[in-house]
Amino acid sequence: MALLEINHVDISYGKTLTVSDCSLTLNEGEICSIVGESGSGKTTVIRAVMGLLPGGGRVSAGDILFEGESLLAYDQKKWRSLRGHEISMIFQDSGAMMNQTRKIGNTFVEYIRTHENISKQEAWKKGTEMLERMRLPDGDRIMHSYPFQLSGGMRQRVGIAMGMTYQPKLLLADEPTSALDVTTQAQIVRQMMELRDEYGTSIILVTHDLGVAAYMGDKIVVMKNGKIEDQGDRDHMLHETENPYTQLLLDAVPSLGGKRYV
Amino acid sequence: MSKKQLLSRLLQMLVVLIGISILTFLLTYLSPGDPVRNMYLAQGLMPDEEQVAVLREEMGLNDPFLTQYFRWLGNCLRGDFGNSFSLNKPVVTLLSARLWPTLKLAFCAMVIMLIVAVPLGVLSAVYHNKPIDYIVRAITFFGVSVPNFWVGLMLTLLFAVRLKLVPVVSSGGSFKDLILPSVTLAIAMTAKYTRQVRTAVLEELHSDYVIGARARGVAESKILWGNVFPNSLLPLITMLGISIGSLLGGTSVVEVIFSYPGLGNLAVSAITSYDYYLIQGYVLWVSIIYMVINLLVDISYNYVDPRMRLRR
Amino acid sequence: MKKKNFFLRYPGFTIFAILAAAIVLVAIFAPQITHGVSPIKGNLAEAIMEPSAEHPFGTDKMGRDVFTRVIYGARASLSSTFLLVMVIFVLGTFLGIISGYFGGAVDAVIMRLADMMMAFPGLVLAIAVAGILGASMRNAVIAISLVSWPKYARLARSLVMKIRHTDFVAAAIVTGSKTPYMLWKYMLPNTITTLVITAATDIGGMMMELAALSFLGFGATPPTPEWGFMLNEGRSFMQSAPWMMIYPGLAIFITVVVFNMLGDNLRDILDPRNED
Repeated sequence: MALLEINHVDISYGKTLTVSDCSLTLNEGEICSIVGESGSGKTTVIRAVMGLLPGGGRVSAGDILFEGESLLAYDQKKWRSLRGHEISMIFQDSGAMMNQTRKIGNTFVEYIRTHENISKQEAWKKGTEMLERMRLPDGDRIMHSYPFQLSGGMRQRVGIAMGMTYQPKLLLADEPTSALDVTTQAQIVRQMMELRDEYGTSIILVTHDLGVAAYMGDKIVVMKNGKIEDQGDRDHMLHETENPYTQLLLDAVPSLGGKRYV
Repeated sequence: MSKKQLLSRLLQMLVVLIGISILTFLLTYLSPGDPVRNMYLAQGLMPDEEQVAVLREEMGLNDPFLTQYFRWLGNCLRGDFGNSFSLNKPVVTLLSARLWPTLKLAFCAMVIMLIVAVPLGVLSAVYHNKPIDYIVRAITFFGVSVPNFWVGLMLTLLFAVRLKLVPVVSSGGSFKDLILPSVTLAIAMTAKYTRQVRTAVLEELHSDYVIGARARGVAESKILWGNVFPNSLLPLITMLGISIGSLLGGTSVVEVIFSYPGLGNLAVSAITSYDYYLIQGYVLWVSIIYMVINLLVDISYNYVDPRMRLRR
Repeated sequence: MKKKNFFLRYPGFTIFAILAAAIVLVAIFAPQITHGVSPIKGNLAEAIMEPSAEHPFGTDKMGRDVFTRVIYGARASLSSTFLLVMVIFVLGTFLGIISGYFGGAVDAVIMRLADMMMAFPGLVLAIAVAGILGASMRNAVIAISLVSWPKYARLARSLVMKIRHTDFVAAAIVTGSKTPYMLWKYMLPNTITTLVITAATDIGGMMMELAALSFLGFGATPPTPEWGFMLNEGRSFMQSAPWMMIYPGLAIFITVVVFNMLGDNLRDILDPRNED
């Protein structure tokens, strides 16, 4: 049984169809990259998996199955136990996804105590441990800091650490490296791949950067205008596919000394 | 807020205060009314032109503008705000006697405002575009559209005259005296503030961190009360400060309607009797109160928001 | 037809535009509507009579027909309100634009003046000004304008400052555009939409402030029929003749509601903010 199945899903906002006939299968331990331009619908798809479509958005056709169960039938309670626990999501700016007027530790504790009935002190300890397990230096200082006091790269690593607290089966990553400089990008990418190696976490990565997508993804999905334009495993997508759009994207990757490193 | 900022702010307040006092002094100086003549009329006597002229000379009312102004200013700095022409008492005495009732009235209205506006605003924001939102919006719409002096009169008609539940004329003493005036004062303010609460909370609800918290599985109620609402308090406090200005101004009309013995009532009668010093004193006092409140609001805002505190 | 579609597409605006126009027409055609009854001359023998077929809103203490006075009252209220909003709009916008455009000393002076006006609860300052100048609608308009222009000035100023240092403005200046041209063709258009919306939504509020001043005795003077002042007159007769108080107040309320709805709808058309 596949971990995640997206079957012929349509997503609409009111009467407007933004994503049509999206199908995707993810198995355990797999990394799938979804690439596309802005507005291609890639973010919408993973938001739908989390049930976090902004106001007015809904899955108007098809089904999303997680471990064989349909997510569309979930009620608020089931979603709350699923989110942050079985499926985690990290965003382009993890710092912004935390309350700016609260210390990171407080946000972390709030999150932990949603899923476990332990005291604030224990939760704080657990959070600090998690940060250190993710090889973040001086976890205690981070817990006592506000999001805006950390660098972009640090924030993303904290976001990943938080997301991995309960070793979710599936990690959804929405443009996690887009706001970072190239060196930090590499760091984050490496860390994310280690997650798969160490914890067996499956990852869906959404990005507009074909280089990152190709490096990380076992499978690559290309989206355009709300539809899946092309998909397949890495080798096929990079070397064998005859889809003109995919080839356009590949050509757009800058090459160094005539050699393309993608 | 740094010491330097505070100092410059205080200086700014001083400049504005002086500006206002000059402005009102100028206005009274240029006005066609004559306080001395009015003094006579107030006592039901016909003003004797000769005596009026003599009195005006004695009181220094014929001196040039700047002389009069600086004389007054100098006296103020010594705590002497002059004497009221129409009531024949020191301005300070009159103002202080009326200060507390007005503050009581404004405070009551503010309490009503907070009790009603905050829950309604939050409800309206959380369930926005659902039926309850429309109901609250309709209510606030009427609240800002209805002339508060008319409502005051209508309420008096209903509760005081017809139902005889409260006294028609307030003596400013008991709780019963305060109900109608504070409710009247509170109506328009509450409606406006409810809208502001709604906007502030709605904006917070659309913040990124709300989505982040949801993605982490945090319960909606925790998100709302633990995060959104406290964050909304910051702009709400500022708006409250601004409302206080309207509150202080609005007491005038309400006090007149209910013959409530407050500052606003005093101001209106001072104006009609061209009681220069009383008007000046009133303007000065209310300006100071108003500016101090705004300053306190700004200081607390700077302190409460960690982004202000820590970002240099 | 484009015009027809516009009105159909915005039913809210259309309805209230029609209602507002109706109110204006009532004011204009007051003599016709009241069948020539005089709003200022009354028959003392008919003083303080309950509403009846002959006097739908009753009569006041001078024996004047309240209905007639309410209808004629629309003239005073509407004309002075429109005048007031115009004055504030023009004055505030002008001062705000030059404040934002020229900066420096001009800006400092204007903003300090604005601060002074705002450092004090508006209504009271208006009362002071009107009281000292003497009671009349004209003075009431002056008084309220004095206190209300800062809001518009600040708005205009911030809108101007947003584009003041942009490249396209610099380009226009460098290529020789004269200052009045810059102000008129560049700064003004950027501010006008927001300010028109503000003015439209303020009509109701301004009407109430004028009525409040009149109510306190600092605005309209007898025998002019004006709603706020009529409330003042009716106040003394609260127990014996409540109709003197009820109907003028109702008139203010209805008019303000209509104009507020109109303003809100206009804002939704010109500046729709998406609430998802």
